[in-house]
Amino acid sequence: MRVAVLSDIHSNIEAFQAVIGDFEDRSDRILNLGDLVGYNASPNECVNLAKDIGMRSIQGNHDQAACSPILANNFNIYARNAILWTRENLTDENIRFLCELEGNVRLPCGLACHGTPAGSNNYIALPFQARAILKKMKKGTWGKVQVCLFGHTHKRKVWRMDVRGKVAPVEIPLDGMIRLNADEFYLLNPGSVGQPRNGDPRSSYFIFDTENNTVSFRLVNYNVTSTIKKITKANLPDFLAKRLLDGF
Amino acid sequence: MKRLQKSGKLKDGSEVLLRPMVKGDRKAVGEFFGRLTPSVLQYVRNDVSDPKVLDEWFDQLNYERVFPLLAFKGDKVVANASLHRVAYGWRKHLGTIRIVVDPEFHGKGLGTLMINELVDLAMEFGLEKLMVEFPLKAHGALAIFKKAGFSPRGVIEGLMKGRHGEDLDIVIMVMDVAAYAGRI
Repeated sequence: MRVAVLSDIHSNIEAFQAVIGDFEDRSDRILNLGDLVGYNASPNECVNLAKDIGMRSIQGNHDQAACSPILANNFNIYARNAILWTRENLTDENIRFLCELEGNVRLPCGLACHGTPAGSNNYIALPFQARAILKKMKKGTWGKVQVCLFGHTHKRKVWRMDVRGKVAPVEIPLDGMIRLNADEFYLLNPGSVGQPRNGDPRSSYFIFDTENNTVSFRLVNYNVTSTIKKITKANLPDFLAKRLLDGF
Repeated sequence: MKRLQKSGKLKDGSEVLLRPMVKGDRKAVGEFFGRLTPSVLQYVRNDVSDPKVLDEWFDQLNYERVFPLLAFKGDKVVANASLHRVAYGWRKHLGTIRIVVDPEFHGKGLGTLMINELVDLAMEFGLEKLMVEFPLKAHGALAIFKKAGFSPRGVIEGLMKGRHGEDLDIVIMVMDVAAYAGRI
């Protein structure tokens, strides 16, 4: 099976549509690792498209805050401003959709979560954080799990624990293809569709081929100008628009 | 743009409003610095008793370079913190924090509230490290920054001078933003 794995779409409909156009018939399933909304200005369009294409979605921390605005108090001033705007502009039906999203999802190809399997607000960004999760996977804390799919950092990343228990990041090659070894443990982050922070403004995702045990990272151009215009028209902070140009 | 702001609760249960400084805050910020004693003002980097200095701050507001965060109790500014960034080069990943809290609000958790907000913003701005420097004898500041996740990385003896010309030892504290935000 080929699973298109997306994350952190964040109300960016232009990026979302471009990514769907990119994988077309090259995937059998679509999985979103959370944060369908927040930051950008097209929350209803993104939720509607997610429903239309039957995308399976995990609830991210911004999705949670759109359901329970009191959680926005834990966000910084910019993220809070954007999620309160999102809440005001979402239809009731789409709020209900976000509230009913799942937490962690166990799939035949691995465990899928937003931040870490322990919580959607937690990050896997540094080696000690990756090591902690991989050790728990090896111990069987979440059952038999060889691969964990995660998002939240907006940065595409692969962490590997080899048979000796050594944890290291895996460099993503230019062609984007990584072959997974069956006797190793992996943490895989597709990056962000709607607000990439790798220093590259293109949308990022990957296709996980569970039969061949390969992960193919993809970078996709989209109409950033249109997204920025919508952010400006919605009176959301300029900072949220400018960052899309640089991909940080 | 709707106002960027949020409320925060102090230890005594009262609330303050946190928001970025805007041009209209010139008078309130001037009054804030006007209430501070010379013993506090000596640690402020600019001569804020000079109206021209404050005018310049407000004329040159640029959140990409300096993000100034104010805390309000009613109409009164009770703390001023800022996150300083460099757009390029070897310090691009590093932010520097400066903070001044009204002495009336010391010990109420206001400093922690402001620092936590700047740490969250640093993460949002893509910064990797934060740094702060202050006199070693400011034990209160040391405790607050430790609580916020900073750790002391160095002391430079006699680097600075106090207002009476006495030598001051300086402590440099650093925080790894990603490590703190990713605590699990």
